[in-house]
Amino acid sequence: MSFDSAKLVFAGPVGAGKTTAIRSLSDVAPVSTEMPMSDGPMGEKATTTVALDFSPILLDDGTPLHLYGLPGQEHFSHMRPIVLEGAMGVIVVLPGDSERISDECEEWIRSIRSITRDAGLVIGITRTDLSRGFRMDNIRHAVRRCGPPIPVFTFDARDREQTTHLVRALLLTLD
Amino acid sequence: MTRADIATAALNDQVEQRTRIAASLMLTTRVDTSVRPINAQVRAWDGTRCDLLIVDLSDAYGQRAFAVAERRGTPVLAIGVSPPGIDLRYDTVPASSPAPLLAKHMRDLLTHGEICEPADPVVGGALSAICKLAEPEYRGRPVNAVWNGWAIHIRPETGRVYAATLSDLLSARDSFASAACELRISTASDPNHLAEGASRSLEAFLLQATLHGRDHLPSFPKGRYEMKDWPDVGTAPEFIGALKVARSLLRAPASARELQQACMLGEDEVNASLWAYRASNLLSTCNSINGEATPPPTGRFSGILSRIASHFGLTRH
Repeated sequence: MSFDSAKLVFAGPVGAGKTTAIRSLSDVAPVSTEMPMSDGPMGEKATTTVALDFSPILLDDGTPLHLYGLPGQEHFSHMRPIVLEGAMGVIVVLPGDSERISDECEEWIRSIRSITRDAGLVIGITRTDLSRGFRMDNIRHAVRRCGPPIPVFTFDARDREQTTHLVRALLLTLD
Repeated sequence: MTRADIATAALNDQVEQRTRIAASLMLTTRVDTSVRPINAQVRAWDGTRCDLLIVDLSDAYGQRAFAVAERRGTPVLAIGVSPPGIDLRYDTVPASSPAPLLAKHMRDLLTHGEICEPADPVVGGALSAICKLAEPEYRGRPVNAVWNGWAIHIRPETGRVYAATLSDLLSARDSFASAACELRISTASDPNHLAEGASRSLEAFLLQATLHGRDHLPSFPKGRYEMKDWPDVGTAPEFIGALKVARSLLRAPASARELQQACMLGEDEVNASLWAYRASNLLSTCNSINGEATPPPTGRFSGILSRIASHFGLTRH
Protein backbone atom coordinates (compact mmCIF):
# COMPACT_ATOMS: atom_id res chain seq x y z
CA MET A 1 0.00 0.00 0.00
CA SER A 2 1.39 3.43 -0.84
CA PHE A 3 0.30 6.88 0.19
CA ASP A 4 0.60 10.25 -1.53
CA SER A 5 1.45 11.98 1.72
CA ALA A 6 2.12 11.19 5.33
CA LYS A 7 -1.10 12.23 6.93
CA LEU A 8 -2.71 10.95 10.10
CA VAL A 9 -6.22 12.09 11.07
CA PHE A 10 -7.90 12.14 14.49
CA ALA A 11 -11.68 11.89 14.35
CA GLY A 12 -14.51 11.48 16.84
CA PRO A 13 -17.26 13.34 18.66
CA VAL A 14 -16.95 16.63 20.51
CA GLY A 15 -14.98 16.49 23.75
CA ALA A 16 -13.51 13.02 23.23
CA GLY A 17 -9.87 14.16 23.40
CA LYS A 18 -8.74 14.52 19.78
CA THR A 19 -6.96 17.83 20.26
CA THR A 20 -5.35 16.54 23.47
CA ALA A 21 -4.09 13.43 21.67
CA ILE A 22 -2.55 15.55 18.90
CA ARG A 23 -0.87 17.75 21.52
CA SER A 24 0.54 14.59 23.17
CA LEU A 25 2.22 13.46 19.97
CA SER A 26 3.42 16.85 18.77
CA ASP A 27 6.67 18.54 19.60
CA VAL A 28 5.12 21.91 18.83
CA ALA A 29 1.74 23.34 19.80
CA PRO A 30 -0.86 22.47 17.15
CA VAL A 31 -2.59 25.12 15.10
CA SER A 32 -6.20 24.93 16.28
CA THR A 33 -9.43 26.57 15.23
CA GLU A 34 -10.95 26.57 18.69
CA MET A 35 -14.08 28.68 19.25
CA PRO A 36 -16.40 29.04 22.27
CA MET A 37 -19.05 26.31 22.24
CA SER A 38 -22.33 27.65 20.87
CA ASP A 39 -24.42 25.68 23.40
CA GLY A 40 -22.31 26.71 26.37
CA PRO A 41 -19.52 24.80 28.17
CA MET A 42 -19.54 20.97 28.42
CA GLY A 43 -18.10 20.48 31.90
CA GLU A 44 -14.62 21.97 31.86
CA LYS A 45 -14.63 22.14 28.05
CA ALA A 46 -15.56 25.65 26.93
CA THR A 47 -14.22 25.63 23.36
CA THR A 48 -14.47 23.28 20.41
CA THR A 49 -12.67 22.72 17.10
CA VAL A 50 -14.67 24.27 14.26
CA ALA A 51 -12.52 23.64 11.17
CA LEU A 52 -9.56 21.45 12.00
CA ASP A 53 -6.52 20.99 14.20
CA PHE A 54 -3.15 20.70 12.53
CA SER A 55 0.32 19.83 13.73
CA PRO A 56 3.37 18.51 11.89
CA ILE A 57 5.84 15.98 13.28
CA LEU A 58 9.27 15.79 11.71
CA LEU A 59 10.44 12.22 11.08
CA ASP A 60 14.10 11.30 11.49
CA ASP A 61 14.95 12.12 7.86
CA GLY A 62 13.11 15.45 8.00
CA THR A 63 9.96 14.22 6.26
CA PRO A 64 6.91 15.82 7.87
CA LEU A 65 4.07 13.67 9.18
CA HIS A 66 0.92 15.81 9.22
CA LEU A 67 -1.52 15.32 12.08
CA TYR A 68 -5.05 16.61 11.51
CA GLY A 69 -8.01 16.73 13.88
CA LEU A 70 -11.52 16.72 12.47
CA PRO A 71 -14.22 18.83 14.09
CA GLY A 72 -16.54 16.57 16.07
CA GLN A 73 -19.83 18.30 15.47
CA GLU A 74 -22.13 16.79 12.87
CA HIS A 75 -22.74 20.13 11.15
CA PHE A 76 -19.02 20.21 10.24
CA SER A 77 -19.20 16.77 8.61
CA HIS A 78 -18.59 18.36 5.20
CA MET A 79 -14.96 18.80 6.35
CA ARG A 80 -14.39 15.04 6.59
CA PRO A 81 -13.76 14.17 2.90
CA ILE A 82 -11.51 17.22 2.58
CA VAL A 83 -9.33 16.37 5.57
CA LEU A 84 -9.34 12.60 4.97
CA GLU A 85 -8.07 12.96 1.41
CA GLY A 86 -4.81 10.96 1.16
CA ALA A 87 -4.74 9.99 4.85
CA MET A 88 -2.74 6.84 5.69
CA GLY A 89 -4.70 6.28 8.87
CA VAL A 90 -7.48 7.50 11.12
CA ILE A 91 -7.61 7.33 14.90
CA VAL A 92 -11.20 7.62 16.12
CA VAL A 93 -11.24 8.98 19.67
CA LEU A 94 -14.40 8.18 21.64
CA PRO A 95 -15.40 9.23 25.17
CA GLY A 96 -15.77 6.16 27.42
CA ASP A 97 -18.31 7.93 29.62
CA SER A 98 -20.76 8.47 26.77
CA GLU A 99 -23.96 6.44 27.05
CA ARG A 100 -24.03 6.18 23.24
CA ILE A 101 -20.44 5.00 22.81
CA SER A 102 -21.27 1.75 20.96
CA ASP A 103 -23.54 3.60 18.51
CA GLU A 104 -20.98 6.38 18.10
CA CYS A 105 -18.29 3.81 17.43
CA GLU A 106 -20.32 2.20 14.67
CA GLU A 107 -21.37 5.56 13.18
CA TRP A 108 -17.81 6.87 12.98
CA ILE A 109 -16.41 3.67 11.48
CA ARG A 110 -19.12 3.65 8.79
CA SER A 111 -18.71 7.37 8.15
CA ILE A 112 -14.96 7.09 7.62
CA ARG A 113 -15.21 3.89 5.59
CA SER A 114 -17.73 5.62 3.30
CA ILE A 115 -15.05 8.23 2.52
CA THR A 116 -11.87 6.11 2.44
CA ARG A 117 -11.29 2.37 2.47
CA ASP A 118 -7.51 2.58 2.12
CA ALA A 119 -6.75 4.31 5.39
CA GLY A 120 -5.97 2.23 8.46
CA LEU A 121 -8.38 2.65 11.35
CA VAL A 122 -8.08 2.31 15.12
CA ILE A 123 -10.38 3.26 18.00
CA GLY A 124 -9.05 5.01 21.10
CA ILE A 125 -11.38 5.31 24.09
CA THR A 126 -10.76 7.93 26.74
CA ARG A 127 -12.17 8.44 30.24
CA THR A 128 -13.11 4.81 30.93
CA ASP A 129 -12.14 5.46 34.55
CA LEU A 130 -15.05 7.94 34.81
CA SER A 131 -17.65 5.55 33.47
CA ARG A 132 -19.58 2.96 35.47
CA GLY A 133 -21.44 1.63 32.47
CA PHE A 134 -18.55 1.10 30.07
CA ARG A 135 -18.48 -2.38 28.48
CA MET A 136 -15.72 -3.42 26.13
CA ASP A 137 -17.77 -6.36 24.80
CA ASN A 138 -20.39 -3.93 23.42
CA ILE A 139 -17.69 -1.95 21.62
CA ARG A 140 -16.24 -5.14 20.11
CA HIS A 141 -19.70 -6.18 18.90
CA ALA A 142 -20.09 -2.76 17.26
CA VAL A 143 -16.70 -3.11 15.54
CA ARG A 144 -17.55 -6.61 14.27
CA ARG A 145 -20.77 -5.31 12.73
CA CYS A 146 -18.66 -2.96 10.61
CA GLY A 147 -16.24 -5.50 9.13
CA PRO A 148 -12.84 -6.99 9.97
CA PRO A 149 -11.45 -6.41 13.48
CA ILE A 150 -9.66 -3.15 14.15
CA PRO A 151 -7.69 -2.23 17.27
CA VAL A 152 -9.78 -0.83 20.13
CA PHE A 153 -7.65 0.60 22.92
CA THR A 154 -8.60 2.43 26.07
CA PHE A 155 -6.03 5.16 26.65
CA ASP A 156 -5.21 8.46 28.29
CA ALA A 157 -4.99 11.09 25.55
CA ARG A 158 -2.67 13.16 27.76
CA ASP A 159 -0.12 10.36 27.85
CA ARG A 160 2.35 10.53 24.95
CA GLU A 161 3.35 6.85 25.16
CA GLN A 162 -0.23 5.60 25.26
CA THR A 163 -1.20 7.79 22.31
CA THR A 164 1.91 6.59 20.50
CA HIS A 165 0.79 3.00 21.06
CA LEU A 166 -2.41 3.74 19.11
CA VAL A 167 -0.26 4.91 16.20
CA ARG A 168 1.82 1.72 16.44
CA ALA A 169 -1.33 -0.41 16.27
CA LEU A 170 -2.51 1.61 13.29
CA LEU A 171 0.80 1.02 11.51
CA LEU A 172 0.64 -2.72 12.19
CA THR A 173 -2.74 -2.85 10.45
CA LEU A 174 -1.01 -1.40 7.38
CA ASP A 175 2.08 -3.65 7.17
CA MET B 1 19.00 -36.36 32.62
CA THR B 2 19.64 -32.65 33.02
CA ARG B 3 18.73 -30.28 30.22
CA ALA B 4 20.67 -27.13 29.44
CA ASP B 5 20.12 -24.23 27.10
CA ILE B 6 23.49 -22.90 25.88
CA ALA B 7 23.78 -19.69 23.88
CA THR B 8 26.82 -18.55 21.92
CA ALA B 9 27.75 -15.02 20.90
CA ALA B 10 30.49 -13.71 18.59
CA LEU B 11 32.33 -17.05 18.26
CA ASN B 12 34.21 -17.79 15.05
CA ASP B 13 33.23 -20.83 13.00
CA GLN B 14 35.89 -23.13 14.40
CA VAL B 15 35.11 -22.37 18.05
CA GLU B 16 31.38 -22.59 17.36
CA GLN B 17 31.89 -26.04 15.85
CA ARG B 18 33.99 -27.25 18.79
CA THR B 19 31.36 -25.88 21.19
CA ARG B 20 28.68 -27.97 19.52
CA ILE B 21 30.90 -31.05 19.66
CA ALA B 22 31.57 -30.33 23.33
CA ALA B 23 27.83 -30.12 23.98
CA SER B 24 27.32 -33.54 22.43
CA LEU B 25 30.19 -34.91 24.55
CA MET B 26 28.36 -33.81 27.71
CA LEU B 27 25.48 -36.03 26.69
CA THR B 28 27.44 -39.10 25.70
CA THR B 29 30.45 -39.25 28.06
CA ARG B 30 29.71 -41.85 30.69
CA VAL B 31 33.20 -42.93 31.77
CA ASP B 32 32.58 -41.54 35.22
CA THR B 33 29.20 -42.89 36.25
CA SER B 34 28.89 -40.30 39.00
CA VAL B 35 28.63 -37.64 36.31
CA ARG B 36 25.12 -37.05 35.07
CA PRO B 37 24.70 -36.66 31.29
CA ILE B 38 23.60 -33.20 30.19
CA ASN B 39 21.33 -32.80 27.19
CA ALA B 40 22.50 -29.41 25.96
CA GLN B 41 20.99 -27.43 23.11
CA VAL B 42 23.36 -24.90 21.54
CA ARG B 43 21.94 -21.85 19.79
CA ALA B 44 22.94 -18.35 18.79
CA TRP B 45 22.34 -15.82 21.55
CA ASP B 46 19.18 -13.84 20.79
CA GLY B 47 18.81 -11.79 23.95
CA THR B 48 16.68 -14.32 25.79
CA ARG B 49 17.66 -16.18 28.94
CA CYS B 50 19.89 -19.23 28.78
CA ASP B 51 21.69 -21.52 31.21
CA LEU B 52 25.18 -20.77 29.94
CA LEU B 53 26.62 -18.13 27.62
CA ILE B 54 29.77 -18.88 25.63
CA VAL B 55 31.20 -15.69 24.30
CA ASP B 56 34.19 -14.05 22.64
CA LEU B 57 34.75 -10.88 24.64
CA SER B 58 37.07 -9.31 22.09
CA ASP B 59 33.97 -8.61 19.99
CA ALA B 60 31.56 -5.73 20.78
CA TYR B 61 28.52 -7.97 20.27
CA GLY B 62 30.05 -10.51 22.63
CA GLN B 63 30.59 -7.80 25.24
CA ARG B 64 26.94 -6.77 24.94
CA ALA B 65 25.78 -10.37 25.42
CA PHE B 66 28.15 -10.67 28.38
CA ALA B 67 26.72 -7.53 30.01
CA VAL B 68 23.19 -8.92 29.73
CA ALA B 69 24.27 -12.30 31.14
CA GLU B 70 26.03 -10.59 34.05
CA ARG B 71 22.89 -8.64 34.85
CA ARG B 72 20.85 -11.84 34.85
CA GLY B 73 23.38 -13.89 36.77
CA THR B 74 23.88 -16.30 33.88
CA PRO B 75 27.18 -18.28 33.97
CA VAL B 76 29.62 -17.25 31.24
CA LEU B 77 32.43 -19.14 29.55
CA ALA B 78 34.69 -16.56 27.89
CA ILE B 79 36.75 -17.63 24.89
CA GLY B 80 40.09 -15.99 24.08
CA VAL B 81 41.59 -13.01 25.82
CA SER B 82 39.33 -10.68 27.78
CA PRO B 83 39.90 -7.00 27.08
CA PRO B 84 40.92 -4.80 30.01
CA GLY B 85 38.08 -3.36 32.04
CA ILE B 86 35.91 -6.48 32.02
CA ASP B 87 35.67 -8.12 35.41
CA LEU B 88 35.18 -11.84 34.80
CA ARG B 89 33.86 -13.99 37.61
CA TYR B 90 33.97 -17.02 35.36
CA ASP B 91 36.53 -19.05 33.40
CA THR B 92 38.38 -17.86 30.33
CA VAL B 93 39.73 -20.51 27.97
CA PRO B 94 41.99 -20.14 24.93
CA ALA B 95 40.28 -20.08 21.55
CA SER B 96 42.33 -23.13 20.56
CA SER B 97 40.91 -25.31 23.37
CA PRO B 98 39.84 -28.75 22.15
CA ALA B 99 36.23 -29.91 22.47
CA PRO B 100 36.80 -32.19 25.53
CA LEU B 101 38.33 -29.27 27.47
CA LEU B 102 35.44 -27.02 26.48
CA ALA B 103 33.03 -29.76 27.58
CA LYS B 104 34.72 -29.92 30.99
CA HIS B 105 34.41 -26.15 31.53
CA MET B 106 30.84 -26.13 30.28
CA ARG B 107 29.88 -28.99 32.59
CA ASP B 108 31.54 -27.30 35.57
CA LEU B 109 29.72 -24.05 34.95
CA LEU B 110 26.38 -25.76 34.35
CA THR B 111 26.56 -27.97 37.41
CA HIS B 112 27.93 -25.31 39.74
CA GLY B 113 25.50 -22.72 38.51
CA GLU B 114 21.78 -23.21 38.60
CA ILE B 115 20.44 -24.86 35.48
CA CYS B 116 16.97 -23.54 34.79
CA GLU B 117 14.56 -26.43 34.75
CA PRO B 118 11.36 -25.82 32.79
CA ALA B 119 9.14 -23.55 34.82
CA ASP B 120 6.51 -25.36 36.79
CA PRO B 121 2.95 -24.03 36.61
CA VAL B 122 2.38 -25.52 40.03
CA VAL B 123 3.23 -23.23 42.93
CA GLY B 124 3.27 -25.02 46.27
CA GLY B 125 0.84 -27.65 45.00
CA ALA B 126 -1.53 -25.28 43.21
CA LEU B 127 -1.59 -23.64 39.80
CA SER B 128 -0.47 -20.02 39.60
CA ALA B 129 -3.32 -17.54 39.20
CA ILE B 130 -2.61 -16.75 35.57
CA CYS B 131 -2.57 -20.43 34.58
CA LYS B 132 -5.78 -21.04 36.49
CA LEU B 133 -7.46 -18.08 34.84
CA ALA B 134 -6.47 -19.46 31.44
CA GLU B 135 -8.38 -22.69 32.08
CA PRO B 136 -11.85 -23.15 30.54
CA GLU B 137 -13.45 -23.18 34.00
CA TYR B 138 -12.54 -19.54 34.62
CA ARG B 139 -11.76 -18.09 31.19
CA GLY B 140 -14.16 -15.35 30.09
CA ARG B 141 -16.15 -15.46 33.33
CA PRO B 142 -16.40 -12.90 36.14
CA VAL B 143 -13.79 -13.98 38.66
CA ASN B 144 -12.72 -12.65 42.03
CA ALA B 145 -9.14 -13.34 43.08
CA VAL B 146 -7.89 -13.13 46.66
CA TRP B 147 -4.37 -13.57 47.93
CA ASN B 148 -2.11 -12.20 50.61
CA GLY B 149 -4.31 -9.32 51.67
CA TRP B 150 -5.50 -8.05 48.30
CA ALA B 151 -8.59 -8.80 46.24
CA ILE B 152 -9.25 -8.04 42.60
CA HIS B 153 -12.37 -8.44 40.48
CA ILE B 154 -11.88 -9.58 36.88
CA ARG B 155 -14.75 -8.67 34.60
CA PRO B 156 -14.26 -9.76 30.97
CA GLU B 157 -17.56 -8.21 29.83
CA THR B 158 -16.43 -4.72 30.80
CA GLY B 159 -12.84 -5.50 29.83
CA ARG B 160 -11.70 -4.19 33.21
CA VAL B 161 -10.11 -5.43 36.41
CA TYR B 162 -11.14 -3.68 39.63
CA ALA B 163 -9.65 -3.34 43.09
CA ALA B 164 -10.34 -1.28 46.18
CA THR B 165 -7.09 0.65 45.76
CA LEU B 166 -4.40 1.19 43.14
CA SER B 167 -1.96 -0.42 45.56
CA ASP B 168 -4.02 -3.63 45.52
CA LEU B 169 -4.03 -3.60 41.71
CA LEU B 170 -0.26 -3.19 41.54
CA SER B 171 0.34 -5.91 44.17
CA ALA B 172 -1.92 -8.26 42.24
CA ARG B 173 -0.20 -7.46 38.97
CA ASP B 174 3.23 -8.17 40.42
CA SER B 175 2.32 -11.58 41.84
CA PHE B 176 -0.39 -12.84 39.50
CA ALA B 177 1.96 -14.96 37.39
CA SER B 178 3.61 -16.62 40.38
CA ALA B 179 1.15 -16.68 43.26
CA ALA B 180 -1.38 -19.45 43.81
CA CYS B 181 -4.28 -17.06 44.41
CA GLU B 182 -7.72 -18.28 45.26
CA LEU B 183 -10.06 -17.73 42.30
CA ARG B 184 -13.83 -17.71 42.66
CA ILE B 185 -16.40 -17.27 39.95
CA SER B 186 -18.65 -14.37 40.87
CA THR B 187 -22.33 -15.23 40.74
CA ALA B 188 -23.75 -12.24 42.58
CA SER B 189 -24.35 -8.78 41.10
CA ASP B 190 -21.39 -6.52 41.44
CA PRO B 191 -21.64 -4.06 44.32
CA ASN B 192 -21.90 -0.38 43.40
CA HIS B 193 -18.60 0.45 45.04
CA LEU B 194 -16.71 -1.76 42.57
CA ALA B 195 -16.34 1.04 40.03
CA GLU B 196 -15.43 3.57 42.72
CA GLY B 197 -12.04 2.01 43.46
CA ALA B 198 -9.18 1.57 41.02
CA SER B 199 -9.60 -0.13 37.67
CA ARG B 200 -7.74 -0.69 34.45
CA SER B 201 -7.87 -2.58 31.20
CA LEU B 202 -8.03 -6.33 31.81
CA GLU B 203 -5.75 -7.23 28.91
CA ALA B 204 -3.16 -4.59 29.83
CA PHE B 205 -3.23 -5.86 33.44
CA LEU B 206 -2.74 -9.49 32.40
CA LEU B 207 0.00 -8.58 29.94
CA GLN B 208 1.90 -6.62 32.57
CA ALA B 209 1.43 -9.49 35.03
CA THR B 210 2.75 -12.16 32.66
CA LEU B 211 5.65 -10.10 31.37
CA HIS B 212 6.57 -9.05 34.91
CA GLY B 213 6.51 -12.70 36.02
CA ARG B 214 7.70 -14.27 32.79
CA ASP B 215 10.35 -16.35 34.58
CA HIS B 216 7.63 -18.13 36.56
CA LEU B 217 5.48 -19.07 33.60
CA PRO B 218 5.49 -22.58 32.14
CA SER B 219 5.84 -23.04 28.41
CA PHE B 220 2.55 -22.38 26.69
CA PRO B 221 0.95 -25.64 25.43
CA LYS B 222 2.10 -26.59 21.95
CA GLY B 223 -0.32 -25.92 19.12
CA ARG B 224 -1.43 -23.26 16.70
CA TYR B 225 -3.46 -20.35 17.96
CA GLU B 226 -5.44 -17.43 16.58
CA MET B 227 -7.25 -14.31 17.74
CA LYS B 228 -10.50 -12.73 16.54
CA ASP B 229 -10.33 -9.41 18.39
CA TRP B 230 -7.50 -7.01 19.19
CA PRO B 231 -6.57 -6.95 22.88
CA ASP B 232 -7.03 -3.65 24.70
CA VAL B 233 -3.37 -2.97 25.45
CA GLY B 234 -3.32 0.80 24.95
CA THR B 235 -2.34 1.36 28.57
CA ALA B 236 0.59 -1.07 28.31
CA PRO B 237 2.64 0.79 25.68
CA GLU B 238 5.90 -0.64 27.01
CA PHE B 239 5.15 -4.03 25.45
CA ILE B 240 5.52 -3.46 21.73
CA GLY B 241 6.36 -7.12 21.13
CA ALA B 242 3.02 -8.24 22.55
CA LEU B 243 1.27 -5.90 20.12
CA LYS B 244 3.08 -7.58 17.22
CA VAL B 245 2.08 -11.00 18.56
CA ALA B 246 -1.57 -9.91 18.56
CA ARG B 247 -1.30 -8.59 15.02
CA SER B 248 0.27 -11.81 13.82
CA LEU B 249 -2.40 -13.99 15.47
CA LEU B 250 -5.19 -11.84 14.03
CA ARG B 251 -3.74 -12.29 10.57
CA ALA B 252 -3.09 -16.05 10.60
CA PRO B 253 -2.91 -18.97 13.06
CA ALA B 254 0.57 -19.58 14.43
CA SER B 255 2.54 -21.61 16.94
CA ALA B 256 4.77 -20.02 19.57
CA ARG B 257 7.88 -20.76 17.53
CA GLU B 258 6.35 -19.30 14.37
CA LEU B 259 5.42 -16.17 16.32
CA GLN B 260 9.02 -15.78 17.48
CA GLN B 261 10.16 -15.83 13.86
CA ALA B 262 7.34 -13.73 12.41
CA CYS B 263 7.67 -11.02 15.07
CA MET B 264 11.43 -11.40 15.71
CA LEU B 265 10.85 -11.82 19.44
CA GLY B 266 12.37 -13.91 22.19
CA GLU B 267 10.74 -17.08 23.46
CA ASP B 268 9.82 -15.65 26.87
CA GLU B 269 8.10 -12.56 25.42
CA VAL B 270 5.94 -14.66 23.09
CA ASN B 271 5.21 -17.12 25.90
CA ALA B 272 4.10 -14.34 28.27
CA SER B 273 1.92 -12.75 25.57
CA LEU B 274 0.18 -16.06 24.84
CA TRP B 275 -0.59 -16.66 28.51
CA ALA B 276 -2.02 -13.15 28.87
CA TYR B 277 -4.19 -13.43 25.76
CA ARG B 278 -5.39 -16.89 26.75
CA ALA B 279 -6.30 -15.71 30.27
CA SER B 280 -8.20 -12.76 28.78
CA ASN B 281 -10.19 -15.21 26.62
CA LEU B 282 -9.08 -13.70 23.32
CA LEU B 283 -6.87 -16.58 22.19
CA SER B 284 -8.36 -19.72 20.68
CA THR B 285 -6.86 -22.96 19.45
CA CYS B 286 -6.84 -23.34 15.69
CA ASN B 287 -8.12 -26.75 14.66
CA SER B 288 -8.29 -26.00 10.95
CA ILE B 289 -6.12 -28.25 8.80
CA ASN B 290 -5.96 -25.42 6.28
CA GLY B 291 -4.08 -23.18 8.68
CA GLU B 292 -0.62 -24.71 8.25
CA ALA B 293 0.93 -21.90 6.21
CA THR B 294 3.83 -20.06 7.83
CA PRO B 295 2.59 -16.70 9.13
CA PRO B 296 3.98 -13.70 7.26
CA PRO B 297 6.47 -11.40 9.01
CA THR B 298 4.86 -8.78 11.24
CA GLY B 299 6.08 -5.22 11.60
CA ARG B 300 8.23 -5.01 8.45
CA PHE B 301 7.67 -1.72 6.66
CA SER B 302 9.02 0.00 3.62
CA GLY B 303 9.03 3.56 2.31
CA ILE B 304 7.48 6.25 4.41
CA LEU B 305 5.72 3.71 6.64
CA SER B 306 9.15 2.45 7.65
CA ARG B 307 10.22 5.95 8.67
CA ILE B 308 7.01 6.53 10.61
CA ALA B 309 7.32 3.13 12.32
CA SER B 310 10.88 3.99 13.31
CA HIS B 311 9.81 7.40 14.68
CA PHE B 312 7.15 5.77 16.89
CA GLY B 313 9.46 3.03 18.17
CA LEU B 314 7.89 0.16 16.26
CA THR B 315 11.06 -0.77 14.41
CA ARG B 316 14.72 -0.29 15.09
CA HIS B 317 16.47 2.68 13.51
